Amino acid sequence: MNLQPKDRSTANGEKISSWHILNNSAIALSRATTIDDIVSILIKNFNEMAFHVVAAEVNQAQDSLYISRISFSDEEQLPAMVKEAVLAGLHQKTLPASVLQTELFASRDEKVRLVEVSLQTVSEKLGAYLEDDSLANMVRHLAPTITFVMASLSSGRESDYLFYLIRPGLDKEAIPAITAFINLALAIADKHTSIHHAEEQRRIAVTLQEVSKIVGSSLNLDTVLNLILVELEKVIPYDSASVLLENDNNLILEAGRGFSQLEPVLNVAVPVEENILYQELKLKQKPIVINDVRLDPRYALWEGTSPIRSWIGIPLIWKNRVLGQISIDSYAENAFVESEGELAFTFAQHVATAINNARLYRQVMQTATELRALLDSAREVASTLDTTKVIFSMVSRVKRLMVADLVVVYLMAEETDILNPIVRLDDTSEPAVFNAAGKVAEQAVAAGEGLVSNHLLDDVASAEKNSTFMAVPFMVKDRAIGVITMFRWGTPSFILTDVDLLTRFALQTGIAIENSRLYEQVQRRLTRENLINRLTRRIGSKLSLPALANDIIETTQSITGADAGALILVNSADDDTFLQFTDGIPLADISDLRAECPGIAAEVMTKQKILVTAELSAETYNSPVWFDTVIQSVIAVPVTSGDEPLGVLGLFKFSEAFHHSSEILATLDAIGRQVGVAVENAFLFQQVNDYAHNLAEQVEARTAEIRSQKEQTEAILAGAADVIIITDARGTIEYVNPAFTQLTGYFPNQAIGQNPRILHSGQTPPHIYKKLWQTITSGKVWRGTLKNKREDGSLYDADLTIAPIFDQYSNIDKFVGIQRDISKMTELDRLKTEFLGTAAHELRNPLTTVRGYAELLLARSDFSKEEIERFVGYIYEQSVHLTNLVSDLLDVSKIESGSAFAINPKQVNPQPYFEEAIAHWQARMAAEYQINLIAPERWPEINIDEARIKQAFNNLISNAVKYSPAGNEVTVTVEVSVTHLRVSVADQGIGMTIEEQKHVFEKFWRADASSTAVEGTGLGMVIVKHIVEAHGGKIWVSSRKGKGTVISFTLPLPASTPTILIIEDEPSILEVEERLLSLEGYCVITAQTGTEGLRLAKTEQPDLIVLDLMLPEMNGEEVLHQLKAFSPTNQIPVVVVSAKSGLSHIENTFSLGAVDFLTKPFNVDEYLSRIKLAINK
Amino acid sequence: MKKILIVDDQAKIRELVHVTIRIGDYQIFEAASGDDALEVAREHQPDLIFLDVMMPNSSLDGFETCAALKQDERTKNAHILMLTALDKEEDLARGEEVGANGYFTKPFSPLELINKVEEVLG
Repeated sequence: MNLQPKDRSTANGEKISSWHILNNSAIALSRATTIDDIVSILIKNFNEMAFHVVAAEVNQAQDSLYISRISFSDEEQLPAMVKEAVLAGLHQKTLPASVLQTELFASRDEKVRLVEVSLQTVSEKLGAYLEDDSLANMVRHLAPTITFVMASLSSGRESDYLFYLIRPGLDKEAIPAITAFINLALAIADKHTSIHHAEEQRRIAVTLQEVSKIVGSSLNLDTVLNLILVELEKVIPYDSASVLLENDNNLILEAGRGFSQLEPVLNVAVPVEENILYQELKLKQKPIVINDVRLDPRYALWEGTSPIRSWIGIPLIWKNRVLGQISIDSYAENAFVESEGELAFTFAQHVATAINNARLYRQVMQTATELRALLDSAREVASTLDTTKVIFSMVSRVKRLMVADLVVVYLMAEETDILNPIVRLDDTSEPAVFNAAGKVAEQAVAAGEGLVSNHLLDDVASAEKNSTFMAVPFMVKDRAIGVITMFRWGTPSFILTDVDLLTRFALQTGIAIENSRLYEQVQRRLTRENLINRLTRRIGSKLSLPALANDIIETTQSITGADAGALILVNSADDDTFLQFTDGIPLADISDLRAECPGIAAEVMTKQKILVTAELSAETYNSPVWFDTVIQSVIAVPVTSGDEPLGVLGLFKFSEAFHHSSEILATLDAIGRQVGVAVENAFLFQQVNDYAHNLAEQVEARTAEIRSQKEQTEAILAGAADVIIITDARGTIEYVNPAFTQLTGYFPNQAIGQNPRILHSGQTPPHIYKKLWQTITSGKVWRGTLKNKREDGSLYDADLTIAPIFDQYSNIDKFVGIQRDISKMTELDRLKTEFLGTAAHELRNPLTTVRGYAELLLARSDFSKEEIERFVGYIYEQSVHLTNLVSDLLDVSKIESGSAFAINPKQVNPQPYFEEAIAHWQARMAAEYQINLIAPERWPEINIDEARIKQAFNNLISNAVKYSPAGNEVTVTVEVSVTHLRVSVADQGIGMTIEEQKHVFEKFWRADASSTAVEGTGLGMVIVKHIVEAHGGKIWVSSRKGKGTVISFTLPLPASTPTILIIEDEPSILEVEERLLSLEGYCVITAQTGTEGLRLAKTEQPDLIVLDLMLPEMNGEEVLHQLKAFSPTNQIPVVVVSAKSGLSHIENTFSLGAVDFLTKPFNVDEYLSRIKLAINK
Repeated sequence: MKKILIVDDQAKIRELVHVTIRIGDYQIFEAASGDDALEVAREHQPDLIFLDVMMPNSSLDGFETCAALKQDERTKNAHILMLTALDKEEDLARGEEVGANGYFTKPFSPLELINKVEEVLG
């Protein structure tokens, strides 16, 4: 320094050297640690130099001066008043720079300059600005002109300092000293600044290292965030700071520090699109510094008064993704500079990884918890079939997991579409909330998927805070069977991930609910089926009406859970008769209920449909007067037999509605019909007595029954003599009539479901079947002949007509085939051809003789008279023979074709015919033979065609004579037995061997043709046999070669009425059957045990046996077996009657030899017709 | 002298044939069954045989007899004429099979018969 110390002139003349002051301050300055110290020292020294100092901080951005210090020099005597005025006017005020000189800013190089200006002007300017005239006082006191020095201290920081030095009598010579001070201060300031800066950097680096270590030490997000905020303050001092993380397009305040009221603000989610600053941070990925938030439109102020003035926002970036932001707040304006923003940004980069890790960790833990909860839920759900348990367990789990205030589960009622709340866990107990939950549930069902709704309580008075609802439907096969709704007060609201989680729970639960429901249904159905089976069995075995009614009511009550039941029956034949049975209904003395029958019963009977009422009193039907308990709900079931209404079955519940399903109703309907048949049988049982007295009425009733179309058709089909087969459009047999069984040997159960190719014999060429199928499938009728095979393997020729049947859409619905066994016809044809051939052949031999001899006689003349006579005799003989032959041939031909050889029986005493015939023959044979007759005293009358019997008898005697040598006897023996007249013709002729006996009744067979004098036609015995058999008799031969032959035949005595033996142990049924059959004209004998039955069968030899299988001691099958094992009972047809209707049963009885099988309960007409059929077989 | 054998189970027919051919100068034999026919034929070796087809009481029918005759050295040269009431094709074919030399259908004309005999035997 080469400045001269300047003398300062004082009042007392003492000189203090400026340089001395400078030295002191240099020492002091070198010890200064902060800029503030430097400024203080400067001001103090300036004071010692007798300057009054006004120091102002310069804010370049806003072009203003902030008066930070005013210091007066003691040397200069200023009145206190002046000092006060100045202080009041200027201290700590902000002035626009233009108020004072602006030249400072034009040239920054001049550190110090002297300004001469009129104090008046200064005070005027200041005063105008400050609106204060305290300065005016100062001006008046001081000299009119003033000079002051402007010195600037520019430290390299944002704010410069400007010193205004004022001293009366100030001149240019002070400038160098002041400049020296300022330069020294500057140098020191600079040094401090750089030291300070380096210190800052070091401190920051260390802090950042520490921060990384600390922050990376934990995975707990809350811990991490709080640590971050704590460390951040060390780097950048703040009043409050917060960390916000982005999730699902929302910005959530995850952590905060320095806030007085943090709680309500924490976890608030603000949608990203509402946060402008955050969007800018995301976009630019650079920090934003705001000096006064009140002035910046991007900053959205929190509600309420917030003390925040300055703000830094930093994006949290991790691998190019913005996770969120850190906000740093200060209550002072302009608190932060750009560099601090940069620093904070660096800080944020260090901690971003840790934040991300902690966040991921939190998500993973959350997911793990959710999965564990799902797994537990699944295990629990699979272990129980109890619907309520399942739902309850899921609800508690989910409520815990997702923190809700209300959880409600609804299930959809099976028949209606109403949602019923099943389980409710409620911490709010507010009806408005519960109602809103119901609405959300319905919305979710309509949508078919989960949803969130946040504004349902907006218009409810009690809702001051936010609320959120979430609902997820239980979907099973695209149908909602229920809903779960969750509600939570406040924030955060439910988000889509919550809906996903709940949906997963709902899925499990939905399946479990469905399973347990199905299980319950199956259980119920099994129970019902058991009950129905029991009922069916019991119905089938009871004919007593009261017992039957009791069973019906009991069973249907069990099925439906009714409290009481009533069965009301009306006799259709006699409208006045009325029966009723009740159970569980308290009744007083009732004479005739029908007049007071509830309207329901009448309606049900007319409409023939089930009626269900849930509220009896509410319906228009009259509540019956005879109920003195309150009946809540009724199910009325029509009881019918065919189309005939028989009555009503009513089921009642006293205090609640029936829980019924369409399935139960269908079951009841079926029961109603089944019951109808049983009831009807019971009715019949009671009416059989009347039946005897009023046969005509019965016939009319029976006719009325057959009125129904179905029975008519079936009757036609069953009665047809032709075989009828009905198949579906593919050719599968649906129906076969009884004639089918008779022809083919297949029973309906063996044929139905099969294809008619079971009848194929293999002997019909396949192209015929092809043509057949082609014809009928094209809608035309096919006629033709096939060779078919019976069940036993035998073949027959069938004449077949097959026609398609069309439905209302003109599509082929079924095929009807009508078959006739033409084997006989074919056989007849064959026989006829054969016969003609043989006949022609037989004729040729006699013709040869006739022609031959005649020709010879005509052509030649070498014969003697004797020869001529002989030859002519031959011709005559053979002509006669030919005549006999022709006539016998005609007879045989008639016999074989089964047509015209009819017999005309008349009831006559045959004695004269036989005696006459014998007399005639005796006369003819006279000497050669003796014909004897051994006959009873009294001949019975028999039905015979006298001409034919005579013919037969003559033939026999003729043979006897023919084959006996002359001189022998022919004896005719006539015997009478109970059922027959037996005639034997015995000769003592040549007899026949066993072998020859076999051929006796064959056509054209002659015993030893050469030895007969009278030539036979060989047809005689055939004709005799036929005549005898046509009369219902039998003929047989017994003979010994060389000894003689006996031909015997029987003729039946007039038939007696058929006898039927009934073997049945149940007296009521036995009585019914006996009466029925007697009235039909049969002779009936009965037995109540198998043993008795067998005995009667043997002694009385009935024409038919009706056998019940359920017998005491010996069971029916055993009886049947015995009957069939021995003769003569094995010839008697047996019809089996049984309540058991299993297929194996039926097959078994048929295989034992029964001819028919009837199931109880049976229809009266069917019973009679089947008996008739069996007897006539 | 030529020998002729008549085989038929019916006596009257045998007589008819006999009477018919007696006009010629032949030695006539008769048989009532196939077995008898074979016996007689083997013994006497006729030149011509009338053979009835249908002989129900014989163990050999006409065709079998014919076959037997034709197979036997002693008799195979006889000229055999079948007398048959059958005239179906199968029967005629059968006749050829067994070696019959001709046939007459009953009722036959005796005059035609004797003509044939003269034709065959000269």
